[in-house]
This record gives sequence, structure tokens and C-alpha cells, in this order.
Amino acid sequence: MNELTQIIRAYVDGELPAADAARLEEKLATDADLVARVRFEERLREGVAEAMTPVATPTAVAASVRQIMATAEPASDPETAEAAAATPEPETSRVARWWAGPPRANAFAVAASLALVAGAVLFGIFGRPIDSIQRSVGGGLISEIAQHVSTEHEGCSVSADAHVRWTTAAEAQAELSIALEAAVEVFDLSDAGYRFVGAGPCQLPTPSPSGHLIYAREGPAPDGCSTTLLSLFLLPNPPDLEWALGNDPTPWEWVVVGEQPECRARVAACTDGTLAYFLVGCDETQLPRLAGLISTQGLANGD
Amino acid sequence: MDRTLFEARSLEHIDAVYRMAMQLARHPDEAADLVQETYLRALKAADRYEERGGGIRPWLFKILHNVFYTRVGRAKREPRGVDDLPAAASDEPGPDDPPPAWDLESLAWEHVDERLKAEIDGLRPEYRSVLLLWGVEGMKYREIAEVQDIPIGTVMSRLHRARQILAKQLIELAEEKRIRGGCQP
Repeated sequence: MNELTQIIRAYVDGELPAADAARLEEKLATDADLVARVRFEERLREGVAEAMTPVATPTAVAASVRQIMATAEPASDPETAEAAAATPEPETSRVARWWAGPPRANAFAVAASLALVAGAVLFGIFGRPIDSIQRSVGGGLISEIAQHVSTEHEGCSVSADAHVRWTTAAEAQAELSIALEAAVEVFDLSDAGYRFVGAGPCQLPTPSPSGHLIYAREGPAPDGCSTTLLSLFLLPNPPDLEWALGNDPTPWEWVVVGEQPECRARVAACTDGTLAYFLVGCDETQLPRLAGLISTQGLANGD
Repeated sequence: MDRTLFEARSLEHIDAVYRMAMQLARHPDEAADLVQETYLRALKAADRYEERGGGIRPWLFKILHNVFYTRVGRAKREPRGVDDLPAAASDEPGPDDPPPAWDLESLAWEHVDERLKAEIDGLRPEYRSVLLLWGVEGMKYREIAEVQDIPIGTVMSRLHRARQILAKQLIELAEEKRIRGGCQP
């Protein structure tokens, strides 16, 4: 999203922090074009209100609701009462079943707390290293995606600039969050010696939009690697993704889903339930560490 | 909360609940059914309802959404005819910076509401309900996120996309007016 459009809309919606709103108002005093843009957004909002408001409740509906209210008995058991405003029953898709049971936020909170405590006690603050990423190359869509991300990663390695559209973490997070309709995090991998280079959209064989984050290793390429780059691809978790670990994968648990023996690159994947992550790199010694860093930060952010 | 007070407070919002039900269901009979079930569930939960900052209305919306999406989930598992399919989503993002339309004078505002209404009708239910909560009910992003049980980022992105689509319509409207104006002697 264009940053100015975002600011103007947040201002019109009353969602802009006071200090930013004051700065914008200062500019509005002298910038006629800006005033016009604000007025346009205000008018658009009014237009939406006018277009959607004129729906009156039919008399019969109102009467039947009053009848219900007058005659029905409130639930006597607490479970029924609690269920009224509870989250709807999840659909019986694989994705939904991952999160069946406790609400997602609580599950994340518990998982994040446990991970952070375990991480702090056992591994220090450098993230949760995983001894090894489980090796289990999947089939179907997951293999297809793995192949695509390998190709894209190779393209990045040849010409990273051509694949980077957003160079700051803030910009990448904002743009990808909008594109993917989910909270996207640019992970800090500096503890493993990788710095964020940039991000951009990409085309994977799924109907949803996808994006990738590109990192570069500080120093020379690892032995046997032709590039210092590491790619992390993100896409809304496809419901028909055949996870190699079965139908009920643990969030943030990585699995190898593809390999490129010629350049020693490996593709590891995991999901947080909302997004699927595909990590591509050939730094064999660091890949589990990098995956662990991502998981730790992902769990913490889900809290 | 006392039952009489609960009834009075909840019935105050029946128009808003019905309006939302219509935006979700798009059919008066189904909307009526959704409203009835919403109030029935609300009544069953009345003893445990706790007054919060936003009052009873967001709570009623939340129940309504749950009723609707539970039904949608059930319907997905049942065979259905072509006529039952939801409206196709025109969720292609519009241009980020539509410059000509910033000039409000160039718009034929008498046609805007009609055009917006038609475009809103073509959006998917989740976009329409976010627009309604934002534009008509005046809710904050956080409140919308709570009602719909979705992350605040999703609220923002849906609002952004919906506004892009509607802004694009306004630009086209302005363009049509400009073209028509150009043809006039």
C-alpha cells in the first residue's frame, strides 16, 4: 500500500497516533492536494455509509424477534451460555483441525511461553536451535512449491536486486501483510550471521499471492555454495498442502521438503497455521539454527 | 444484567443486526433467520453477558457472525446449486494512487452512492461486513477484529482492498463524466 494513502486513511478513520495526526494536520494547512485526498477518503467513507445504511428491519422480523425474547428461556447451564458467543465450530479442513481445541491466541500464548522459557533456560537468547530438520520429502503440491522456490531462490542468487521490491523491514512487513492478508514478520537472523536484504512478491503455484524475504550471509559463501543468499518464502497455507509430516503438523516444526544436490541447497518448510514458510539455502551447518531462530521469533510474535 | 434491561438494550440494535445479516446473507429470508437465531442465542447467554466498553451491539454482531459462518461451513459440506454460490469477489487491488479522483469537483456525486452500492454488492461477505462495521457502525479496527475474530491486520487489509476497489469505481465515474463532458458542444 502506498504509505501516504495508508496514513491518510488511518487519519480519516481516527486510527492515526496523535503525534502523527498533528504532523499531518500541519501539512494540511499548506498542502491543497493533501486536503483533497483527505476529503476524497472522507467522502468515500460517507458514500459507503450512505450506500449500506438504508436497510430497515421488516416489521414481521422485528415482531418475531420480540416474540422470541418474550417467550424463550435463558440457558440454565453455563456451557450453553458460553457457547453463544464462542468461536464457530471449525470447518473440517486440515488447517482448521490444527487449531481445533483451545483458541489460537491461547495456544500461541502457551506455546510461546513454553518456547521462550525453554529457550531461555536451555539455549540462551539465540533462539531455539533444532538439532536437525526432519528429513521427509513430501509429494504433490508441497514438492511442486519446493521446486518453484528453489528456482526462485536460484534467480535471486543470480540477481537479488531484480527480486527486491522493498528494502526495509518495516516496508516489507506492511506490504506483505496486506498482500498475504496475515501478519508477516521480517525475522531477525543476525544471530546466525544473516542480514535482511529485502523482500518482494513472487509467483508460486498456489492461487494465493506469495512473497519472499531475502537474507545475505555476512562474509563468504559457505563451502560448496555459490551464493551467500538465503530465501524465506511465505504464502497463505494452502488447505490441500500435503505436509510430509502428516495431516496434523506441529506449528513451527520444520521439515525438509526439497533438495537441490547440484548446489547443495535444501528447502525446509513449516507452518504457523496461517502462513506456510519455505526456507531455501545451502548453508547446511546453519540451516537448523536459522529455522530455529525463525520458529522462536514466530512463536514469540504469536503471543 | 436484568432480563428486561437486556431485552430492551439488545432490541435497540435490531436494525443494525438485520443490516449486517443482510450484508452477510444477501437474502431477506435468510437474514431474518440469522437475526432470530442471533437473538435466541443472545438470550440464552444473557445471564453471562458482561457489559464492556462497546456495549451490547458488538457482542450481538459477534454472535451473528458466528451463526453465519457456522452455517456457511455447514453449507460448504452440502451439495448446492449454482444459484447458491456467493458473489464472485472482485478483489483485484485497484491502483494505489488514483490521482484524478482526488478532485472531488470532477465527480458526479449524485451517481456515486448508486455506483458504490453496486460495487459493494459484488464484494465477498467478509469484505462487505468489514465495510459495514467500519463505515456504518463506525467501529475501530480493533473492535472489528474482535467481532469477526480475525487479526487486526486482516481487518486493515480487507478495508484497504475494499476501499481500493471502491476508489477505482469513483475514478471511473469521474473519467466517464470527463469523457461525456468532452463530447458536449
